[in-house]
Amino acid sequence: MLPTIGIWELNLKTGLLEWDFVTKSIYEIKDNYFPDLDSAINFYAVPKYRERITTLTQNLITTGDSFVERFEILTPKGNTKWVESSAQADFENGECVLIYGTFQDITTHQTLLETVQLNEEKFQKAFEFAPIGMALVSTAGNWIKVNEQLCKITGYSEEELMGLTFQDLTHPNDLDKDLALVNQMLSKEIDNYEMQKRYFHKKGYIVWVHLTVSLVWNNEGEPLYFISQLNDITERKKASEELQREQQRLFQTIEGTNIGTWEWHIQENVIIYNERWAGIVGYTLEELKPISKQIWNDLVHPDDLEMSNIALEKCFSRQTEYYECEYRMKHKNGDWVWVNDKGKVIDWSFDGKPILMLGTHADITHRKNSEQELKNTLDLVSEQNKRLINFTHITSHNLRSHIGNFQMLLNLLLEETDELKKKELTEFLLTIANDLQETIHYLNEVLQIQTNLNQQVKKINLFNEIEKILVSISGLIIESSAIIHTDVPLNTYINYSPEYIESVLLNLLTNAIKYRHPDRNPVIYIRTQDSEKYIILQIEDNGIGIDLNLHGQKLFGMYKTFHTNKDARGLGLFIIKNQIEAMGGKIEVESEVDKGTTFKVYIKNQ
Amino acid sequence: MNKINTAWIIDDDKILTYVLQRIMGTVDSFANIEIFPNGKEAINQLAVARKNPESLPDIILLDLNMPVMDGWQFLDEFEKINLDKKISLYIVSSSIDTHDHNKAKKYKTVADFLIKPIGKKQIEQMVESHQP
Repeated sequence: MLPTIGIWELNLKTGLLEWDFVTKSIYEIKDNYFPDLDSAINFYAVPKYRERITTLTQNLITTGDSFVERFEILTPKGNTKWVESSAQADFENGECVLIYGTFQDITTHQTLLETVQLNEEKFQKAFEFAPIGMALVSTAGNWIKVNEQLCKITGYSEEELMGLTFQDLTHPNDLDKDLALVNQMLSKEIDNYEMQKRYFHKKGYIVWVHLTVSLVWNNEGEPLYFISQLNDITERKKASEELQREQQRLFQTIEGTNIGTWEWHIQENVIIYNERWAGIVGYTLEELKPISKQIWNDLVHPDDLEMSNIALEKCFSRQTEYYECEYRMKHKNGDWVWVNDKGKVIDWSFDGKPILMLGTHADITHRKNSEQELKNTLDLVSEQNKRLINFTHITSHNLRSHIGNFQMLLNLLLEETDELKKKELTEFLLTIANDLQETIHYLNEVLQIQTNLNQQVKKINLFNEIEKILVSISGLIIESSAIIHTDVPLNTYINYSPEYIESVLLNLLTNAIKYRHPDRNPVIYIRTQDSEKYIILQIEDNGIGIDLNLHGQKLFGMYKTFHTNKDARGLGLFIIKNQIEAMGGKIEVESEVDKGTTFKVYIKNQ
Repeated sequence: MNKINTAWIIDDDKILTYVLQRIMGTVDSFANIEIFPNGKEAINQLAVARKNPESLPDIILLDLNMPVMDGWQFLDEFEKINLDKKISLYIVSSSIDTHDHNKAKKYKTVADFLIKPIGKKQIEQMVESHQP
């Protein structure tokens, strides 16, 4: 590294000016250049410095006052440089004989200094006009320097603030936290900190600020002052608090209405449920983890899934604005829960795909059950009403036909003179009276069935009951060479009126034998079949069959007979149909002429 | 008074058919009365009689409620058969159900709906209005 300090001397006796090579290199001149006083002065291009150096040199020669000063020079190559020049004088007999000194290029140093000065100014301006509050605060908490914005935030003038500490302005609830952080910084645990805190405005109200604080240390490692930056976030804070309150209200509303909520990000297929959503089906969200749309698919009743998907599709294709569907979901305890599901797509992609959908679940099981009960009651009442109207018609018709005959016979009797014919007519009258008696008896029996729907029911073993009936008709079975196959599980129990089941079995089994085919022995199968709601008792024969196209509609009507059988009275099927229906079941028939008939008795499953 | 060659009574009620026969006998206009206990037997007889229109009835008295083939089913079959003779068909029933009466009006072959009991007067009117 080249020495940066040059040496020069001027012998006043000889007038010889000497520069060493360093000085020459600073001046940017060649070694073989020999300066004189006149030419040397020309390097000081700026008049201010030229005059200064001339004055100082003359003064040095006359008084011996040495100097060290900085000057700006201009080299022959046209470069401006800053130099520091020092000078001393030697005297002989009171006369100056020699002046000499050092010469140093300080251009870099000078530029740096200027930069620092400039930066300081810039900082000053930045500090003063910053859009956020800024302050230098002593380690004791006194405001040393504050800017305009800080005054605005706090409402105090600069002078007023100087007489206060940050502690004076800080809300007491935030002070401890702030001081703790300050101490952590003083003990060098942290370099800086940020916090949200409250100041008291001069007018007394609270100002929320976001505070950033750092600490400046000196070279000896002692803390000098804090640099604090304060951002007024009162408005933001208010807005966020308002939002929080809003959220709280919404949350409470949702809690209060007891509805489940769901939020479906359709494209990512991510779904978010609230706790109540899970609660409706008896779970906690924790139990349902991992949460996915699949959970819903798994819990919805399989029969209802399609209906819901159709409703969703309509919503996605914008045929409907809202999605709404009522379906069943499986509760943790195994029951089905009725849910009213409503939703709306609230965000669509640019190409019309649904992105986000929000919705609610409401438990409507209670309502659905009430509706069902109401419907059941209505069905029951309608059915009863229908049967009573039917019964009224039957009664009217049957009584009227007997009474009509009575009247006609009596008219004939009145006009009849022949004693023999009179006797014949009287016998007819007696027959009609008996028929009428019998009709009234049966109508009464049916009326009993119709009105006494709460017939005493007992737990009955169906197999035993069938065996009992078969024994009671064993005479008929033997006489007709009938073969009876009973395929009924021994443990089949039904809740039924003992009287009715006996009547049903007796009627159907004797019919199966009575209407046997003339060409073959009767073969009868008695079977049971389980369905969800019913035990279905089937009695199948290989008899003459019934033309259901002709008689299907009135097969179970009163006084309907379909065969010219002498015993047929048209009452049996009518009565057992009433009995079966009174027990909450139904009766169906399948038949083919010449092949056989199958009656199916639906017995309500308990 | 018109003379009626043949009348059919289609009814399973033996007492009623007996009484009707007696009443018709007193009216003295009926040369021949035939009884059928159900619609099926009457239809069978029609199929035979249509080959000899002389043997077809002039008047039919039809009950509704019968075994095997009832009055309505008989009417359905009857309207399908093309006959060369004008037959006056009367429903004779104890039904006062308006449903039955309205249903009867849909059959163009039904001349009237008579409610049991019927007497000599109704039979006489029937004979009176018969246009051979």
